Amino acid sequence: MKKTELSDATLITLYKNGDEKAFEQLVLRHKSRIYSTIYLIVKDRYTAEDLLQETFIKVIEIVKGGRYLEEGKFLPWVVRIAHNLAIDRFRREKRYPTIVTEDGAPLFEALSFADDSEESVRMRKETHLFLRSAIQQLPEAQREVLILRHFANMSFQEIAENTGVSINTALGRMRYALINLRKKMIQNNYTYDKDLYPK
Amino acid sequence: MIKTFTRNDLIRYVYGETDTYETMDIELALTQDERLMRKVDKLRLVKAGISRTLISPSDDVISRIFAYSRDNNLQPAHS
Repeated sequence: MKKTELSDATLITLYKNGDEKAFEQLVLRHKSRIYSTIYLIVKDRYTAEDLLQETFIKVIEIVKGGRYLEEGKFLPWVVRIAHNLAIDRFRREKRYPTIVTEDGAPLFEALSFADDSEESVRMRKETHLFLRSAIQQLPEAQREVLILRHFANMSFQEIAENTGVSINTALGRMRYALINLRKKMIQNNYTYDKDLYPK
Repeated sequence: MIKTFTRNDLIRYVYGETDTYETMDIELALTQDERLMRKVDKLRLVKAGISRTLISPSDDVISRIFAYSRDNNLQPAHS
């Protein structure tokens, strides 16, 4: 029988009341989105893990300290914390885009390649690796909208409110991000084959 | 007559943020305008690609986060 999945809001309430398992469930549910947000900014997996830990330390202290305001937006809230920490660290260390090499390959744990030929798995891995690197090189404003829309599940209206721009600006930034990514893919001969993204 | 849409309308459509009527209008236009269909397809493909770039942190860092939470058992907050 399929277990009913508790909402983030319910898990937070349980956690506030001392249920550590509820917190673990929240972390496991959102770890990839939060970690990816950080990694796309700092471009280094060890720094990203360090900042992931820092992000959750803040979350723990705010929630356990009774300062968390429940508005039904746990993930966007955490992604914003992670994003801000990553931007601060990036600026402080003045890390400029580095080329992502095959060393990043073990990081593909979140992807499922079951039932595929070796060749298509390899092609897909390379495409994702390239795409990730292309996202890292986007102008900051475009990358921010992309991250908040894809990883924080925020609507364009919410992004506009959170970043202090109009909804048309947020939409425009997303559009340019998609156009830029597509251009880079084409320039580097990464084909946009529909089969690369099976449902 | 086929309605025209702004480029931002198409972004909202691709991300599922158009209302029912806008969605119906765009989908009708897509059946009649191949160029528009190609444009939307391109946007959808990049969007799908981005969604597949998610990566996971190591189990070690997750264990450290769990441990930090357990070791910092503050007084339960009043909800």
